[in-house]
Amino acid sequence: MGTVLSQAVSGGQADLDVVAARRRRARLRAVLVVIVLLAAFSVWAVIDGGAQLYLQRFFDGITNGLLYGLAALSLVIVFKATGIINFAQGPMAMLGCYLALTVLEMWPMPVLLAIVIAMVVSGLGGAVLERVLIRPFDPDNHMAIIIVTLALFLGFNALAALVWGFRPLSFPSPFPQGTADAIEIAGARLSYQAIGTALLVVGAVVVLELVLNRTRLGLSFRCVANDVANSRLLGIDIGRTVQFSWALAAAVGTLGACLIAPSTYVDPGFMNKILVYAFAAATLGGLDSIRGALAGGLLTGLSVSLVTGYLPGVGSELGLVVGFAMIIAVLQFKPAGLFGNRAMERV
Amino acid sequence: MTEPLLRMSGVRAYYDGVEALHGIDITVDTGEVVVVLGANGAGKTTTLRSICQLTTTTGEIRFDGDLISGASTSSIVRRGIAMVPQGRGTLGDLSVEDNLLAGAVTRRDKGVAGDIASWYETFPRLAQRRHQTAGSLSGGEQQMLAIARALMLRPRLLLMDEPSLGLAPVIVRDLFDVLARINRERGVAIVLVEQNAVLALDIAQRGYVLEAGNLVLSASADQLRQDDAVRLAYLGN
Repeated sequence: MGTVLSQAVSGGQADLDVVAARRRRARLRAVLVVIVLLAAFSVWAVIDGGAQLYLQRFFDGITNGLLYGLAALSLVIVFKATGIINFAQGPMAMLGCYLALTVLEMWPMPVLLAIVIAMVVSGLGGAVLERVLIRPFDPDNHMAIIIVTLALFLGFNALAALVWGFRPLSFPSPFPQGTADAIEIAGARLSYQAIGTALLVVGAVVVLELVLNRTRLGLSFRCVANDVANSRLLGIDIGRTVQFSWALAAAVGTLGACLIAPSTYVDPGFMNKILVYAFAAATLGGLDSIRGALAGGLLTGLSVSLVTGYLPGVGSELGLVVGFAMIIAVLQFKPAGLFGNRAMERV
Repeated sequence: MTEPLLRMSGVRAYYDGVEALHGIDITVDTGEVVVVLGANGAGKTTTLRSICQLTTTTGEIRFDGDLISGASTSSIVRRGIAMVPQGRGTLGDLSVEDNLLAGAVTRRDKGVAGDIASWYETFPRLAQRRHQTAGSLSGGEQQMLAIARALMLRPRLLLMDEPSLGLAPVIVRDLFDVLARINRERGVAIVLVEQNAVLALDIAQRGYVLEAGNLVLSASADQLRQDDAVRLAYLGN
């Protein structure tokens, strides 16, 4: 059976291929525009301030960008499964970071181990949160759920202030952090801390891809992300899959916060600024794409580092403005982001 | 008489509180092909959705003697009822192979890889496109993938909603050959909702006719073919 079919069905294939090719070209064009913009800015920057300064800014941008990408990933994971942006993701990651600090204080252990423990606990916490506060709501009522996440945003900030106070705490780096712990490339400093962080982020993304592509829960997640109604007909328990996405996002978010914390400090609001960059990264990458989130993070990190480092009048405290400007620009000119599919499908 | 595989008794279905099925009784025996005919809006799709509990229902639905009305869709699917909805129900972003794996996502046995290989043998076209996304397949290929995916569950009952919709006639004929063969060789019972009554009655043993949410006729496929009203309304002569 199926032989006539095999020969006859190729009729509509040509059209589909054309659509796919057009989509690929549009994507390539958008990525090219961004790269050309960055390259042009870089050329001006090198001429203006010299190669060494530029390289330093570039390294800073890439390191920060990977962390923004990781934070964006935690937004993307929940968005893919539910179509909802979890505004509480920043404070959730902040709580995870405090948790790691507390664990370190109570039992002396390697920093990395404390981070892993905090990730596991936040994962469980994310799962409980989904079950208790998110699942009771109609999943199609996005507004209600988003308001719940906004309430959690405020609640978690207050909770952290209550438990740990407002005093900024320092977070130990899992990597050597002295002034000598760095390699020099053409006069620019690339610290072991930055290299180690970058390797951890890449490792985390590889593990995440393996979980999503090689496990049963990962397959369920990809089905639900694609089509909830049809996933139900596959026998997939939608609630449990969404719960899995919350747990995964919470663990990824905590890792991100713990890797960001050594270069900032920990206080109840410390992830809120990062959340803006994560939003910029996620919208740029296209909210529903994992690789897009990472690429978006790199582009956001680079842009913020270069713009605040070179444009007179835009000091480092105006980095947030750059983040917001990027969000607005993406939503204005390319709502689907560089790698996303959702908005493009509607066209 | 033994208990049928599926028994719907006095089933009413609701969409947002509005009753769409007004108390219908349908049975399907093990290994049987049953066709459901009716005009647009008669409640054919709603009947299938009721079986999977994708709509609110009252009345009793039993599968293999067990009460399934009120159960969750995922638990009903796990019991062995697979549905191919209108519009195929394939997952467009996932590859052909992942779609087949997804069909077996609730199975815990070791036979999944073997089943996928046998479907590739049945539909070589799917094997060629195994790493392409399902969304890039043509309509006929997607329907084949949808059937293979549904049967990856190793169901005892297959619900097919308008499988011929949007397909060229030559492909539709082939599709019904495939369905008949699946029923014959695997003993899977099929409930077929179909506009193309001629072909559907060819492979079915029995049929029901729905009209505005009521069951108006229940007869063997031969009787339905002879029935004047059915001939006029659905067979075009």
